[in-house]
Amino acid sequence: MVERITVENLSYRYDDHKWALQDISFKVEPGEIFALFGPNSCGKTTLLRCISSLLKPKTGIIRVDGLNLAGMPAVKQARRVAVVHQIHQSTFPYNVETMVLMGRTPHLGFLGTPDSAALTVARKSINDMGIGHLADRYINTLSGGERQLVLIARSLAQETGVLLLDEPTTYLDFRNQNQVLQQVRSLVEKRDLAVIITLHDPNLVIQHAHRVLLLQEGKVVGIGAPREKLRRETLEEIYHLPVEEVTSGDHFFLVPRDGCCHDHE
Amino acid sequence: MPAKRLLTAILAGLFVPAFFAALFIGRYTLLPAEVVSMLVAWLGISGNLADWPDAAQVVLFQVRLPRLLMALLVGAALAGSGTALQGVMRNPLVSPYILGLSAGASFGAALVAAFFGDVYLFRQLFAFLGGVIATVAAYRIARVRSETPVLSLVLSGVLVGAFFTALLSMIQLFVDPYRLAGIIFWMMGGLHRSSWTAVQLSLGPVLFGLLVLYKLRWRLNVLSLGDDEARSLGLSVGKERIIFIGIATMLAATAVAFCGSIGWVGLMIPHMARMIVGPDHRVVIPFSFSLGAVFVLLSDTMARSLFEFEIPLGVITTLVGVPFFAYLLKKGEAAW
Repeated sequence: MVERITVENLSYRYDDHKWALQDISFKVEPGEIFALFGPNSCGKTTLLRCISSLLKPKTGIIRVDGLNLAGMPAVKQARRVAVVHQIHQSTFPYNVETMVLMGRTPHLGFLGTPDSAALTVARKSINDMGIGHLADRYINTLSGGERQLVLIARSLAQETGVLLLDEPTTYLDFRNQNQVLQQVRSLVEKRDLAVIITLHDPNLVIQHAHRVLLLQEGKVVGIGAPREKLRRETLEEIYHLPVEEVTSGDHFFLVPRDGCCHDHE
Repeated sequence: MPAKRLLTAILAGLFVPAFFAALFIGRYTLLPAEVVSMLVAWLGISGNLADWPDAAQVVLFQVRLPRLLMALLVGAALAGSGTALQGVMRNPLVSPYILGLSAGASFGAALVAAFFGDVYLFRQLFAFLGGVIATVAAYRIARVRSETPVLSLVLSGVLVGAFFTALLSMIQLFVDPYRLAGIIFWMMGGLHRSSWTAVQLSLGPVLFGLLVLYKLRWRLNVLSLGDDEARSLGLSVGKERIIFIGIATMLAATAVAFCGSIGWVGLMIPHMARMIVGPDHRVVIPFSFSLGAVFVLLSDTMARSLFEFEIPLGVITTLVGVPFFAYLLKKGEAAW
């Protein structure tokens, strides 16, 4: 299968600080959910920001559909890669339909405003996310989960082949986490998207991602199927925390074991 | 949307009475019917303008009509400038003067007044340049490593404003007291020196600025989401921010050059517009132009007719604006 996104030997550092990312390489195929996983400050968000061109890698190449993203104008990038950022703070609380319509911006001319065709795409995206009943609501009146679904609907309206999700479940409760990730899975199947997602919970990675890339201090420490790569010994090594594996039927979980965290020797 | 059409109708309903009130209210009495007949004759539709007394003709066509047009231009320009800057800076408390424009323009005008006296157009040119230079300086100071964070921009605007205010104080300290009064009256803002020349000179930049803002109103929605989201939606954030700030500066500098610093219009009108039509800039931008124009026209009519003497327009807009803003804060709706 042809790769939708290819990252080759990517490295990044902030000013003169130590390397935040070192020699990262991976490929993601259409229809795949690819999770970035690792402790705080391991470089997940930095990697996602490099792929979304918000940071310029010091070395390495990022290709989408075979095209190098470096030097590509922002508008052309936005037709290929959609991003749902970790934090959305609206100064002006637009309604849901307007928010999602903004996803059509890369397809409009510089002086353009959305026409009826753009509205049709936006409404389809809203319905695909199952939030049609919220279309007229102002974004500041929605719950965290609903907002996240609106932002994903906006990224769908961009009609890109790649979707980047930066910790989309961080502020969500148990039910909303599940709802958002279920929607992402169904979209990946329906629209053949390549999704790169950062997650903090290993069980969500196991449940929803096809592959995982484990990061520690900016370096890749594993890449492959979540159930193979996310094992007790790996997590204990990168989180310095006693972990227990629990198997129930077909399900496999990782839970912190009772007892104090230990410092890395 | 029917509600929006209704509101537009209400606004138009405000505009027509405000337009005619501005023409017949004043110390020289002109009845509404006389105003209409003279306008009809002036436009060549029917009647002869020579039938009317010279004084009436001068009052209507050389004093009130250019003043009315200036009020509309200045109101729309300040409101448009404020709406654009609030959107770009993602801060509803930003006014067109946030980047030091007013202080720079006042310094430019005071400089001319101090050294050359009241030289028409020379003062306007220096006020315009002073405003533009202050804004450019604020932008340059805030720019660090090819980025211009909004917070730095607001802070550098405060710095530049303080610097030009200090220079202005120096001029006020040394200037002839007779000229000082002129400087202070100019700084309060007013339309008392409106003329056809002023209308002609300001028409081009104001209409051009308003047209650009109108055409780019959708991008203002996207820019107001913040740098990262706007970039991910395909905007060249830095360049587009410069376009909006440049146009907003040109609009406000033109208004200030001809009418001095008229406060609160650029801050308050965008708020009122958002409260009425919601935050979508596709509607807010044209609505704000219209509301600003009508507000300044009504305020100016009040400024020149409430008392025997004329009150500076800036005083009226501030006296109306401050209580209104306090009311918004109390109601907790100032977040928009």
